[in-house]
Amino acid sequence: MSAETSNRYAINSVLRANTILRCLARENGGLRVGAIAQRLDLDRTTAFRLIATLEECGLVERVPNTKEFKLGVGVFEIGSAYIRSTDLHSAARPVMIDLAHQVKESVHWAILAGDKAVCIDKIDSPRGLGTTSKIGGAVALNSGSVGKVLLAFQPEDLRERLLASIPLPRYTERTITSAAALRDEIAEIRQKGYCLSLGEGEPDMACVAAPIFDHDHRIIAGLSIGGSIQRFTDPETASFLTGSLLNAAQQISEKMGCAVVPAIETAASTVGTPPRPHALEEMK
Amino acid sequence: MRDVSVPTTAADAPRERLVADFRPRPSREKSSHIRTLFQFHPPNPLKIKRELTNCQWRCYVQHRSRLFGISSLQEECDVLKMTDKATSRYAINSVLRANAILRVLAAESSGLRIGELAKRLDLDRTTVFRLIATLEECAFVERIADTKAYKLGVGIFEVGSAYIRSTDLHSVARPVMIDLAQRVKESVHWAILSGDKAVCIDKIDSPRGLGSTSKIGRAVPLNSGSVGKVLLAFQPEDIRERLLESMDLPRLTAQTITTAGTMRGEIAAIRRTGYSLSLGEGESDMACVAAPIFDHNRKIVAGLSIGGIIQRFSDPEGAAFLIPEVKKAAALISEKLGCPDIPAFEDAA
Repeated sequence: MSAETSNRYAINSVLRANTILRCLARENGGLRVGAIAQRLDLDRTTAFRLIATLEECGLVERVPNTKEFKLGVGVFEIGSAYIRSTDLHSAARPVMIDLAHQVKESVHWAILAGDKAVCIDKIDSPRGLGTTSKIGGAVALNSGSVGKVLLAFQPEDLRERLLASIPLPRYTERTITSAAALRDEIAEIRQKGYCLSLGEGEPDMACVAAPIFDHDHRIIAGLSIGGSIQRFTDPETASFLTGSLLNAAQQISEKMGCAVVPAIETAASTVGTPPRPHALEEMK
Repeated sequence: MRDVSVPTTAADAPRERLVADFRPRPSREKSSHIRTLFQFHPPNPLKIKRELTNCQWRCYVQHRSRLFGISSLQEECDVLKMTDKATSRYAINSVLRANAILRVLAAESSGLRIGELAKRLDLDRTTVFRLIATLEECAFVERIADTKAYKLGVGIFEVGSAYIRSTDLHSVARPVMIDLAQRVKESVHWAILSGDKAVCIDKIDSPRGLGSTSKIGRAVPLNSGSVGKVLLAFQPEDIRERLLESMDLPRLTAQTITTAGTMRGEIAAIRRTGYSLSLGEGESDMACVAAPIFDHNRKIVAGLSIGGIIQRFSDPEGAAFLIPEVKKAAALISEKLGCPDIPAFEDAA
């Protein structure tokens, strides 16, 4: 996201300000002007002016008693307005809370953002043990179940474009890292209506995800539950978890105005199927 | 009352009517000046405010509020202040304007079109178009499908949630807040100072059925409840004075404090007792109690507050139970943040 851009309307200083904010977001502590300038390949004066302006906007603050800067409360103010505008809480949250209590795992709501999946809400598991994923955290689309569900149900042109361009980092032995394998997986997800992922993000974690549709039958988000791999490999509990998830996803889709959830019809009959051939191949 | 249909926005108002209605207090050197100001069309209240004395400004506001309603003027000024170049010579205009766009979109959850944004920010449409195109590329803004309106995008949410991760909130404060909520059976809030407003950045819901609605991320004026006043009271003196001079004191209920003088008196009391109890100042049937949280530099870093229906707090026994609980919880968090000694307050539990 440097000054090079194909969008001829783009304003450079705003793009650079965005890069600075993203850079500070990745750093948990503060950064000095020099460090920021170095990382983003800007000269110090430019970086200084941008940071001074961002400070004035309240988007960046000084860390007290140092010469470092970190994110300011302004980004949080604006960011939380985003959540309020997505109308998430009224429709989905009660269903998510119910689901978390039913399956006793953490429940996540994630959306597609560019070429990543961002978790924008999370209900913690009522048990002591829950996923440590953070709200606002972004993951690549090939790791875990929700990214693949978000990818699978996109309209075809967007799907193809993403498949051609997204990075496919390897997290564990089972992670899918070839576009061809991912394409096969996607076809299967579209048929089954959900995605079960075992040990692809971390070796001892698993998750299952289902799509949420709006009144236009467009996918708007993915709902997922995640926990330790044992609960998801045992066939009985796996079908219970998947069934509960699909029910919840259907309820929310209905609230969003989607009359009939397309893939769910076939899902019920295929819950609890053994792991896909790809996983076995990847493990060799 | 004049027998004319009220225009919906200042921009639609016939210019001549505004000039004719406005009768400023006599100030000879200013009055001829004032007529020229109304040649701006639509009138930019910020530019006008700078030219008028306080009395004249109040007259102007009164007349404008008769025509358009008073609430809009403060927000308009707030928005225009963001792109005001008078503040710093280092400021980069396009970044200031992009920030102003994001703030305006944050306030309007249903999205805005480019024309509307241009009107509110007093910019021309091409400028706004370029800014929106850039913000869209950064994913800070997204286009609402099937319309020409824009709303906030998920990118700003990603960055915003990184802010929370960079505070000590979850590890240090949350367990104490959850415990406090269980004990007092009310909602617990954590708020910080942002400019001249207070922003709630975390909230634990009351275990009871009825609790305050979520105000996470919303900036409220410092006089609208207890936590703003606590945040103000314990600022270092220079910041405190500057805020008292310049901050807005809008009237929200009959109880709200609206003058700097009364606020100063209140602040002195808060500094003595270490807490603030506010009955019906933000909303007439709600009350709250707040206490300050200090960090290892002995600076106030946040305010902790509980809020609920007014009866629980106005009853002397109820207050005698709730206030020390809040002070204790705040002192505990301050200790965890490394504050070497909490200032000794009167009535300390």
